[in-house]
Amino acid sequence: MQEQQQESTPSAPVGEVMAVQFAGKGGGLLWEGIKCYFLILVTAGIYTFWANVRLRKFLWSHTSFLGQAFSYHGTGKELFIGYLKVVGIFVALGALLAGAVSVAPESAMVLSPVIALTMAVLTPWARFNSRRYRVSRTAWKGVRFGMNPVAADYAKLYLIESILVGLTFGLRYPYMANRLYAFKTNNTYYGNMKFRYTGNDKEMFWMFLKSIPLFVLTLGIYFLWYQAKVFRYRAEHTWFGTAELGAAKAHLTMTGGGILWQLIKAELFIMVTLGIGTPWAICGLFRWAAESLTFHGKVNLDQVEASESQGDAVGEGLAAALG
Amino acid sequence: MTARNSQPAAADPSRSTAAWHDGRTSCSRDVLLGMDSGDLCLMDPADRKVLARWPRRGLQLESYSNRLIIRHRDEGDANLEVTSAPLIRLLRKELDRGFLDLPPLTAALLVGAAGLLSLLLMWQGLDAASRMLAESLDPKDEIELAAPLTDTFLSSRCGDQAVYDILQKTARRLGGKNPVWPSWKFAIVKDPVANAMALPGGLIVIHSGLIREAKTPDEITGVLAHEMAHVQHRHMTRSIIRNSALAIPLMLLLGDVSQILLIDPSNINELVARGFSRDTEREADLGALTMLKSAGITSRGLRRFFLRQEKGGELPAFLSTHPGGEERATAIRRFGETGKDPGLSHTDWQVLRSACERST
Repeated sequence: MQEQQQESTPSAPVGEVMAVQFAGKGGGLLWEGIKCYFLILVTAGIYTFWANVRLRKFLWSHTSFLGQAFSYHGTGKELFIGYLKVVGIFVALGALLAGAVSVAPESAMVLSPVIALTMAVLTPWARFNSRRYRVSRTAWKGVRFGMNPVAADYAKLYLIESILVGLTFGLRYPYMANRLYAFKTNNTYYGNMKFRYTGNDKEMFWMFLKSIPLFVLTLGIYFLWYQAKVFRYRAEHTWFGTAELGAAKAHLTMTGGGILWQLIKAELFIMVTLGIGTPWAICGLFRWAAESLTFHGKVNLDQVEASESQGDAVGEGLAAALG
Repeated sequence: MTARNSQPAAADPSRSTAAWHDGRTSCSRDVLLGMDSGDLCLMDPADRKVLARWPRRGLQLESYSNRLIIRHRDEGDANLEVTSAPLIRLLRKELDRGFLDLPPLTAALLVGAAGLLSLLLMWQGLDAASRMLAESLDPKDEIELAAPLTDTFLSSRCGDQAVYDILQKTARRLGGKNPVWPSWKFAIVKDPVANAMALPGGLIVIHSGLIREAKTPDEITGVLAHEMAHVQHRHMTRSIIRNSALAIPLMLLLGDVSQILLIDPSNINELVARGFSRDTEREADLGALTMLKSAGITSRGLRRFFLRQEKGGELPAFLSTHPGGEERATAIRRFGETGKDPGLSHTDWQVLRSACERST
């Protein structure tokens, strides 16, 4: 694992090939959607949280790795409670602010930057926790994935990097994106097996710098090709494993042309079918994305031990509220 | 979940196995499944020894196109993954009793009843919420919001200023000393149908057909009072708010239906007909009678107008969104005499009648 992690450039896949598959059918997704819409309608919208879980369960359960499906363990109740907590936070904050402004109108001048700063800290914190919640509710072969409780560190990194990106007029953006991805990946685990990202900031920066003239020349269309390159680079530098069980790394075959073609195909299909074909288009995109991803290496995935995996849905609700 | 030594019959004679993940490690173990005393038994395929028992109560089934996942509420992340189609069929038949562990028919009836109750509650809730929202809206804001619509009607109205001075004078008399609504606007439009309507912002549109068919001036005064009551109770605004709220679930079901929120003057009759319920019509009738009484104007004209509508072949009361003409005329009679005065002098009545005379 250590030797493999020291590789910094994408190399030809070695070892056993482990495939990811998506077996969801458009008809099944449509039926789930119809049931959810009906229940949302008769419950005046409250079922939305449970509907969200149903759709996630559908997508997770139809995605498999080595022929074994993933499972989603989140519940509508968790999401609903998370939402209520977020509403409570906002109501309390709103009341506090209204009270402060009514007592001392000049406090608005002081409070405005405080609110802006709070939002700036809360947004990355909520995004990390939202991801942590979803990851912690995902299991494969009865063992859950998880993320370390480091949302505050993530928010700190996000804020510092954002300031640096601003100071460099956006040029530091690839550094920021790479560091945030590395932070999230390095804090993710499957049972007692850890994920590691070995991507290099400088390589990502040069990739970005070389793409700038092409963005200009192609009026931005090249962005899809750049994005595919970033995805491939990230995959080639993402590992999971342990010293005892071995390790494997991801390999992605996604290309810019592939992304463009799949998006056009899906959009055309939705248009031709007047929207009814949306579930089929979604399933098609998921199938294509899953088939683009494989893992290579020698790793024993039968002996992974479950470890504690936590995280509540407040981050999810807050991330949705903050956008 | 203690294992017993008894050997229950395997659920599938073909010995199809399920993959058992115990939730502690990622190890996958093939097991045979069988039912014994209502428990789901997980058995070793080699000797059929029971490895674990999952009681029937607490089992959770998740069906997907190609697999069935079984969990138990007391088993944490452990699950059984069944991919054999015959075994899935057998297990579904044996274990899946559907919603809330009820037989399918009972579950369907329960869902149906819950659905109807929710719709009813939603409808009632919407009505109350739209009333509250409409009443909290400042009349000035409503007037401003309805300004484009008002301008459309005002630009196409017929009759000179003298006609509208008469209508303003009548409205002031009906509104009393402490009017609820700050200002009124009127538009007599060329339309042969005997009708009038109240639009948001205090605009009352009177069809020339209504004036032409009216036998006496008190019919016009009565209808005017009725339309003024619609405005005072914010009926149109309430209706727009309610329709907008109903559009949200429709939008979820059908996609973009933003068009139904637009007020198109060419469809205004349809909008008015759709917007006022039997209850709001009754409320407007009562409001009109109260206004007529405080102004000392007779309600006979309004009663006659409704009776003529009934004869004109409108839908029976139970089929219409409005109460029947006869029903409304009876309610007016029961309310009692509101006054003697017709509300308009003979001269004013003649001026009104000639408002759109040339073109109708």
